[in-house]
Amino acid sequence: MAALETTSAEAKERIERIGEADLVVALPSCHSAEKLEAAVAGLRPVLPGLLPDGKTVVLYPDSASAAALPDDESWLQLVACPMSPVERYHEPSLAQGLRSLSTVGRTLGARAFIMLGSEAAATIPDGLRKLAEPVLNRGYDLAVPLYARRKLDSLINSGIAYPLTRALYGARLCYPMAADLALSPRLADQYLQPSVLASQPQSGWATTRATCLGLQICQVQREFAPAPIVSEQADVSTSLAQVLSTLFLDAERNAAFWQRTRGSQPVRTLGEPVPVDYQNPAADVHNMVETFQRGCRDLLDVWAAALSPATLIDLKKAAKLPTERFRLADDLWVHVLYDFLLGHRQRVISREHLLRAMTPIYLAWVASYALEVQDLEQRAVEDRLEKLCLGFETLKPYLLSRWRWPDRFNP
Amino acid sequence: MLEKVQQALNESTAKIITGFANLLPGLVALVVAVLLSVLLAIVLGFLLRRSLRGVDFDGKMAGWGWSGLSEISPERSPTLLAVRFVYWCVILVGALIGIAAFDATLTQQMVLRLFSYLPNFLAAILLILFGNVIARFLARGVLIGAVNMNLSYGRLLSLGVKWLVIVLTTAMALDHLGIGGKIVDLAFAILFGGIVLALALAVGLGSKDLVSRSLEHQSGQRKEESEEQFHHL
Repeated sequence: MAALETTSAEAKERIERIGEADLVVALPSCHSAEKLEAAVAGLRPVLPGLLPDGKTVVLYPDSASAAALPDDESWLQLVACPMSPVERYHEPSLAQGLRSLSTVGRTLGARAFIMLGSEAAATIPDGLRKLAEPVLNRGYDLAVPLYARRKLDSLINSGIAYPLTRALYGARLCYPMAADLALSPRLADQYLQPSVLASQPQSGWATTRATCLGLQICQVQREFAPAPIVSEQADVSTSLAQVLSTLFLDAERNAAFWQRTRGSQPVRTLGEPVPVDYQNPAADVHNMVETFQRGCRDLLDVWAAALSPATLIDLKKAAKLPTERFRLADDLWVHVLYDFLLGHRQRVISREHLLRAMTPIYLAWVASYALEVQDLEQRAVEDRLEKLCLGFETLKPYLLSRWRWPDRFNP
Repeated sequence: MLEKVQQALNESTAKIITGFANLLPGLVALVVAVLLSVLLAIVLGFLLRRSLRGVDFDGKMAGWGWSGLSEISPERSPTLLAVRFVYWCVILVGALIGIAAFDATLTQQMVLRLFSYLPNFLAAILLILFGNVIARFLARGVLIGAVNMNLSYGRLLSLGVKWLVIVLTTAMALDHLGIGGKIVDLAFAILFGGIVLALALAVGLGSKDLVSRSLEHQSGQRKEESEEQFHHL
């Protein structure tokens, strides 16, 4: 039986009294009484249809324990646990939440484990139904959302996380940094291994973990990505550094796997896509281009620690372009990311400094992308992003050769 | 009379030769000590270089986050820095032992004072070394942050931070060495205060717009449209 060390004494006692359950749902975002009441009211009509004769246990944060909740029924039990809000792009908080969920779920012998970390209370019932069904009834080990996206939404995901994880791990998972997901017992067991339980600060995203283990994964069509929670509204530099840190550490950890993968395979997608309004106004990219140009003037010494001389020269050329014709070629962007990944691994300078120094180049990519797609329709935008992803896959041999035979750049 | 002059000259010459003859063994001992210490330093340096290269000392220092040490090491190699440090320490010790071989109270006292001064000297060297590493680290962090915030005076801010730390550690090192006394304290206070005042003026005058935008944002006014168009997360 898994150890319930991550839960409070009261929660432990309650879980032991419950005994067993078919489904365990964690709602770390429901940290107030109102949110929790709304979420539970929404879950009640959904659960009997999802699990006709099953029992569901809902875990919610201690801070919402003052909620005027109705008495538990035999098929729905509520348990207050010490839980912090899960930040989608802060992997340690997500891993901590999954460890707690897995611990409780395995104790109860559940068939599916659902984390709804970023869901607003109103969308929880829909999110639960769509994510739980593939794991409960179709045998998948991991179900993650595939959010509808406008042109300028989820830019870090479109420009970095998705293409990089696709090239490395060979799976076309559109949103690898999922905070809302459904796990099977097989995947949950990974979070109960001794090395993971021994407070390892970062254990990788569930998506990359499942891909490396060869488990069955699917993505489920959802509406737009939820708005970031308050603690996620840090500046771009901090968010970018957090995402890159997790991506790069994951790549180091799973090097033996991704060095063998070639190309990428589609991941099963369930549900119908949500229609998207692609009418974006013209984007103002002046500030971003200016930041990039300032970076080319002041941060060249820092970039030179990681980037190859050819890449530096191309960046300097790009900085001379006027704003209205500003473009950052895909090849250049891919080389920058791969060089930073290698520099992070070799610790050429402090890792925190290295990741934050990438902000101006990322803003340059955003500016270039925004200018390219401002007059394009949805299909053309999707094709544009697909071209970027293929660029990452095509240049993977460059990453492989430098990873296996590291050299130092001393210009 | 000529005989007396000759006798006086012969006596003086004999005294000089006797004095030199008395000094000669000490001098020979000094030369031998220095030569032996050079030989020992070469052997130790060779062994140390081989053992540090064998355990990939340079790579391990980079892996432990001491990449700043590579920047101030000769040929960017902490191994070489360590080898040269040991090399010159051994030669210095050999020279001091050789000096102590002179049978003169003055030299013995000088050696004693030198040895008692050595810990302060080493502490000062370490202060300057680590001060430089910390100054570069902080300067780089400030520069990156300023560029990301699109501040026009990022370089100035970064230089200011770097020199603040260097001035501080240099003053601490001179204090350890007991050099300068009150003059160094006064000069440090004036210089440090001047740098801080210059930085405060640069930040205050240069970031008026940034502060007013930040205050507007806090008072709930709408953000610029351009910032709302892009959703990075």
